[in-house]
Amino acid sequence: MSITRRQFIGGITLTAIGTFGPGLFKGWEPRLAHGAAVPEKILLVLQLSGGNDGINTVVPFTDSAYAAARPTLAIPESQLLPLDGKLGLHPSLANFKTLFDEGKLAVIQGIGYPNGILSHFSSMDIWHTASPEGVQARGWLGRYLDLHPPGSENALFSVNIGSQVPKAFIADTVSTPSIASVSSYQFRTDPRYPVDRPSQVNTFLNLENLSLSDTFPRANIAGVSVNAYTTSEAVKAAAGSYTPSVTYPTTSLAQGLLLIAQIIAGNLGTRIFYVSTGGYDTHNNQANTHANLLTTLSEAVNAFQRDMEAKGLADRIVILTISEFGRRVAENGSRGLDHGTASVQFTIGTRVRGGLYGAYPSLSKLDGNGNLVFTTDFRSSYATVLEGWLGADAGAILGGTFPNLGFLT
Amino acid sequence: MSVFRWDRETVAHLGRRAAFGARREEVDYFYALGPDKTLDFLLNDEQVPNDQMEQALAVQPFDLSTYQGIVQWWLFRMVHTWRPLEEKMTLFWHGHFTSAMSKVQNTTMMLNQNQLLRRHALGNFRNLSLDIYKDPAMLLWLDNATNRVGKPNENFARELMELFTMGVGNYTEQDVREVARAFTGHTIDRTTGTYLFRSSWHDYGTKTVLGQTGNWDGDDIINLLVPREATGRFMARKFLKMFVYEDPEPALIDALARVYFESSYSVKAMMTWILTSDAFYSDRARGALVRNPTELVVNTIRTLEVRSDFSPFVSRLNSMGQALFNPPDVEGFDGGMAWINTSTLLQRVNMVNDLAGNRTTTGAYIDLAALIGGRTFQSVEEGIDWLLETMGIYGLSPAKKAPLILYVSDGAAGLSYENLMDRKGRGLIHLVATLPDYHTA
Repeated sequence: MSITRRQFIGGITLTAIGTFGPGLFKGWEPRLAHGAAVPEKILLVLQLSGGNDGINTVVPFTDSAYAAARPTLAIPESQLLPLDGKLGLHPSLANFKTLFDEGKLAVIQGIGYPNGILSHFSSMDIWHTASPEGVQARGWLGRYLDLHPPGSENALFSVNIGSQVPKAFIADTVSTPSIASVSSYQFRTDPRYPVDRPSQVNTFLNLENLSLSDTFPRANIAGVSVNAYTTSEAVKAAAGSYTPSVTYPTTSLAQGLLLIAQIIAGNLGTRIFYVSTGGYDTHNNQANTHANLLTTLSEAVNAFQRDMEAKGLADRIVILTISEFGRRVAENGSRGLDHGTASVQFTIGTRVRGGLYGAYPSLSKLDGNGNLVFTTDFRSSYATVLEGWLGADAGAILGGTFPNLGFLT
Repeated sequence: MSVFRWDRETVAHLGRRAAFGARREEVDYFYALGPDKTLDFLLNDEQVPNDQMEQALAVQPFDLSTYQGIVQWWLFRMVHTWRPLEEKMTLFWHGHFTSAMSKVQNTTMMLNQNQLLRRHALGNFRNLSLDIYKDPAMLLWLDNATNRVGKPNENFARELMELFTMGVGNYTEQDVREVARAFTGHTIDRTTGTYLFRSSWHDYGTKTVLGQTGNWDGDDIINLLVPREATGRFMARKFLKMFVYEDPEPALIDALARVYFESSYSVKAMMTWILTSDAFYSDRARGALVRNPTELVVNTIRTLEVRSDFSPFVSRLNSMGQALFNPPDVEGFDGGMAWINTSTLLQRVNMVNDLAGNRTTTGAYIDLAALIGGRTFQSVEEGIDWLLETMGIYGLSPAKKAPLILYVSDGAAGLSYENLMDRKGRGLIHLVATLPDYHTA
């Protein structure tokens, strides 16, 4: 997949070409000239919205407090997929067990932050801004983008899959596009007259090119317009020419990951992806709901991982899961679990050093609300991927030094 | 009022800024009416009867217990109101004294807050501030509902000084703690969802705020913060960014801040000053702002006479980045170029394409024949000029008209007039919406 500036301008018929502002294609063009040849590392953040129950995801089955706190929700040891003598994966995570055995999946235990907040909204904000003190308006990935890493001039350098840009991407100088689907990220024209489309597209591009010599903000909008068209055509072409090596499930998470695979394989220069899946707020009748959620998660991630391996792209990708908090140790009166604090985090990829990281919090030494006391600051895992994967200055981005957890090779 | 030219383009400029875009008939009407009466209509809107709109709104089938319903309700107002500046200011205050459904989770409270903002839209900033801190949605949004003596919650106190009045750098962390103490006990009754002062939760000790010591309560703090020099400048700058241009000169800020103090914090006085200022009508100001998604949607509905029950625009606003009643955080919506990225721009332009291409009478659609209203055009150019002005764009350069003219003739040979209108007429509506001019104000 490659678009050259020449091909792009080829469609334009008027004299507008002479009015290109200096540096219009700065970013997009150099990216295409050099970017595709260098296989760059890609971070994929996968958000589990609602607060995933870490305790039933990675179960400390030898902790006697476990069964005692969860009379109906404790999973019997016999059904768990053991990771070692103390911890077992939820039975819905068979694919994760295989990835763990292959050394491609790391479990970060006790992930959280001091004085865990039990509001979805506020705690998610903290994860997105990497600022438990609430002093950051920008997101942690946004602050990375504001450092202008190589290639970030590309309009598709960071991409959110969905309809709303997560706060993690909020930056001062860069805005991240949200792509809900290939069909929504298109420059549409009247479907009744496909024959008129080339004429409309040419006219549109002419108008934008003429506007590039206008004053602020018209010129800036015109530049984004041209980028929008060019990138949307690139995404469409990448998606259209892609044949997955495995069958992806039909869940929206799996389809989102397929779109990511298409964009990666299309060499569009994206280095940060973000995708979210919800429903983890399991206040009642958690057992079935949680099992289904974890099945959706592991099947989608497994399809993506195997597909990328088959395509020879897996070495470039690391997946990091996040959730705003874990859940209460003791179940409530509705066979569910209320909001908690520390949870588990997964990181997946062929370049991940599989295994267990951090320490599992005690299920009996709890905080005043009956919640786990975190052992691993989530900013350490951010620091690990920022430094160890993206080669960024984690200290500058996170506003402090956090230990590299070492889960990346 | 002699400093600026009064022409139809100027009326359209005023319509984009002080309203949600003027329709062609409105431009003609206010042009003939002249500047003084036009500004009188906009600014002294208590004299403009709005009952017709209120009555029509009251019988709409909007389900106000749902998020979609309250967005439809507000869009209806913005499209049909006779007091456009009132709605514009309500939108401004919604971005200033923010609260969001994402946390409040109660449509009645959000709607009540919206009405509160409307009551004070062109009123007095001090009175608005006094009311807003007791507003249930605000009490939940910034956690003052749980702020009690001995267990203070600083969320509201901090944002009150940082985002609602003085701006960062004008207070200390000690001030934040003391202000939080002053607001303890102002909470809500969880059963009725209404404001409640719980005296047993209130901290009656002395507090020292900005160097002044006393047994301060919430009203005292508002009365302390509103007259601060920093607040006047902070608010003046924010008004200028919304209504004039993004980077106002210090002299302009000073001048408007003076109005703030001299009028004892009158919003109407500030808006009157802005709408009669040289800066507002200057070349620098014209087209200098990025239209926010709400302005874009309402302008589109009004100028193209879009028929719908407004429901299709609820998700569209969200995907363009401005979910009404649901700002992303306490800072409200980012303005300016933050509205524009590749995906939001595609959403903006595709909206008009979808409207123009919908030939059914379901969903949101444009009745093209009704819009044209039996007019016949002597030339392609005349038709394009008509459409541009209908969509609120005046004085487009001949260079930019040229591609539009070319478009109409491209592949049009042999088409009947009807087919030409159906293909190229609808195509032109879409193309005009791709002009950056359509996305600026």
